[in-house]
Amino acid sequence: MGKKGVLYFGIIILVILIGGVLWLNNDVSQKQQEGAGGIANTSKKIVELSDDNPTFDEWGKNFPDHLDMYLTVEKQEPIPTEFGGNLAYSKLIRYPQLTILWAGYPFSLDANEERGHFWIQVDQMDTARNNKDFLNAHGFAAFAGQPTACMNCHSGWTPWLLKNVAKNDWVAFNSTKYWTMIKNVPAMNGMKEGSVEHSGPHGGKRMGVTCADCHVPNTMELRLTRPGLINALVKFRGYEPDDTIGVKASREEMRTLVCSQCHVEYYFRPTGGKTKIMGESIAKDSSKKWWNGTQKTYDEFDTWRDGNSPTEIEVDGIELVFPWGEWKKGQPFRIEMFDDYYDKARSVFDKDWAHKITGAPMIKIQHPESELFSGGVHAANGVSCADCHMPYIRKGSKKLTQHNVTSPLQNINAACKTCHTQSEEYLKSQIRDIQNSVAYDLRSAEYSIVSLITDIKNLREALGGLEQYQTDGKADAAKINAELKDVLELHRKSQMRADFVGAENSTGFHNPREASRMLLQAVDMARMGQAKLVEIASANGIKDFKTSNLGFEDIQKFNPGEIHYKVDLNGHKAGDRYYEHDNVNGNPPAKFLEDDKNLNPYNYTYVDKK
Amino acid sequence: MEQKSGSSNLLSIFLILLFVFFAVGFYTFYNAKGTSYLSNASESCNNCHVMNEVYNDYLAAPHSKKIDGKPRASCVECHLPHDFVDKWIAKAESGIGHAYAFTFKLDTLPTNLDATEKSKKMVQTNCIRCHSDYAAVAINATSKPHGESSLSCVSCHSSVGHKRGF
Repeated sequence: MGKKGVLYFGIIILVILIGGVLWLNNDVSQKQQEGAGGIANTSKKIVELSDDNPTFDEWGKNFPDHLDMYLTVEKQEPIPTEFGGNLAYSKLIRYPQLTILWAGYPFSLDANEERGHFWIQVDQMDTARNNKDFLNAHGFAAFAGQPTACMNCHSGWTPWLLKNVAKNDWVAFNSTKYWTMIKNVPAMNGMKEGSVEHSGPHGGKRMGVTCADCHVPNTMELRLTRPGLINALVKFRGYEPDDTIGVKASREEMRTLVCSQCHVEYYFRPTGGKTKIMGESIAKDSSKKWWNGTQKTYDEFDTWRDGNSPTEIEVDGIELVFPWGEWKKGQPFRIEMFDDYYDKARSVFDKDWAHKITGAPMIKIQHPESELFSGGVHAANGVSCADCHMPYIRKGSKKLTQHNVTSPLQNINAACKTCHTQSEEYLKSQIRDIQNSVAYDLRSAEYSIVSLITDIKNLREALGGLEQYQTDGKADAAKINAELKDVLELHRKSQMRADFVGAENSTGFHNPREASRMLLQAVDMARMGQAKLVEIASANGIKDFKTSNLGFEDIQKFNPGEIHYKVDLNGHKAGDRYYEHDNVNGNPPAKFLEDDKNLNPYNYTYVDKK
Repeated sequence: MEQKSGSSNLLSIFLILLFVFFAVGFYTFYNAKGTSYLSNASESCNNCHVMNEVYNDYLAAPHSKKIDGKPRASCVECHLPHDFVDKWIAKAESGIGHAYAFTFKLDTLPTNLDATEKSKKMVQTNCIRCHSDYAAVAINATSKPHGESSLSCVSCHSSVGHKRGF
């Protein structure tokens, strides 16, 4: 190679090097800009946000990264964790004891693992518990179908509907039928009324939780939008109301309170009065009948169709209330507060349902994360829900709050290691140990309550054969209930405790000590109930009465399997699978059943090996 | 003659490109605040926002307290060796490592960072370097490093530098 060749070579190298340095310079500048706050792209148009359009598709125009995070769960393969995750398998198949514990209540027919905020409204529309005709045809005709009160947490449209359809009448909003209210979700973002998109989850009728539920449109400040929580905080817990953010609270508190809008125990309290609400004209069309031949009062569909139109009707009013009357500000929550509250409320609300086997007046606990967390070590140290479930993460060189709200197990580094400096493996094993321990306690409680239920059933039959518990030669439920009163109370209260930990989405992790304490009580009460049954049997001269002690293998016999149609219904044939989504209501991963089998009785050689 | 002028044209292009290379090179170095890395200032460690939390923690912790206008200890006083040659070797090593990670690996970096074994040793040595008088009478801290799971100064005094990040 001559001199010329060397020069050519040198020039090529220099051009490449210059290109490389220019790229590097660009990269440095870009990252500096990103790090400065993330608003690098100044050419982007900022959309004006307001409560008139609460859809995340609209809000996401200004916050594309946050929208991306929120929508992760839409396309991602569901991820099951040992005691949670977002694979929507049937909880009744994994824990068949629930079909006995919830006997006579629609949850015993259909209860799946949750799929996250994006799917929450889709899942409510799909669940058999919200399908009046399916309930009619499958032994639950007594249930009237869900009210809008159920929709409070499931839809990002709730504040809009409350303001524009219910005209800010909170009781009227709650008392309206779910399927009537959902018909009023407006078509936004260029959607056509009644189109497929309008029925979809992206800003349509199936849209779940959204940005506007927790953020003020123009400032992005945290706020409360759900009257259920605001009322509970103001009436019961000594907070002052605030026009912009719901109640006067610090940002730190708000990072927990926005979650408490929904992650709580609640009930539908009858107001005792009548209220005017929106009804449907189909109620006057005598050709429209439910499967069991009774008159349809609403169309179980998400749009107005076939001439069906809104009418005004009068019904008994209900109100969504959090049972926090005994839980004061600054106190840790205790399960006894629910006992006291629900005892005081008995004259207006005595039960969620009467247990089908025992006749006990039952309370179904929902998802009391706020209550359990309040007394735990994390709360005591000022940690908020968002700190673990929405940890700060890095995207490129931007720092963001994780908006794909999920189990902290999905990112232990971001969620736990901000405070805990141990290795991820160590932290994970601590969490697993706590959850296994609480799950053992929970299974012990559930098995002992199912044993109690079995024994109550047997004694009810035995008592029914005695003359003094009969009317006109037949067993008299009221007389038997009176004799079993104390035992039925023990059933109610012990199951309330097991239900509390079972419905709470952390398998005790949010406050392991309190979870264990209430489960110990639950076992104590269930076994005490069995002891009382023996006394009652003996007092009534029933000689062959024995108590039972059911375990994992006995319980597996109650496995109900996936939900299928039992009759031809609404275009489906008997035997058809109820759910259209394949990964909803299926079998849990086989490994979990193996884990459960080894957890109670506690097989340490298996559990501690993992 | 023709060949000579062709060659000299090429040479001019080469020289111009060489000048451009140095110009953009220096500009990039300037843009990336390159000179700051030659100093001992703690602010330069915070050029990367990755260090924001740790830097804020440091400002709230006792070592950043200024005496006669100088902090008791800067980042490098704890995180780099004090011997001249070792210091610059360590500085170059981590500098290249950080630049590479920040340019190409940013999306896979964990949110919360862990100190490497090497880094932990440097920090421990530096604790003792300043506090040996006290450490010598308090515990036998210097003579016997006791295996992998032994305690270090920061095992107990975890927030003197910054709370997060080890």
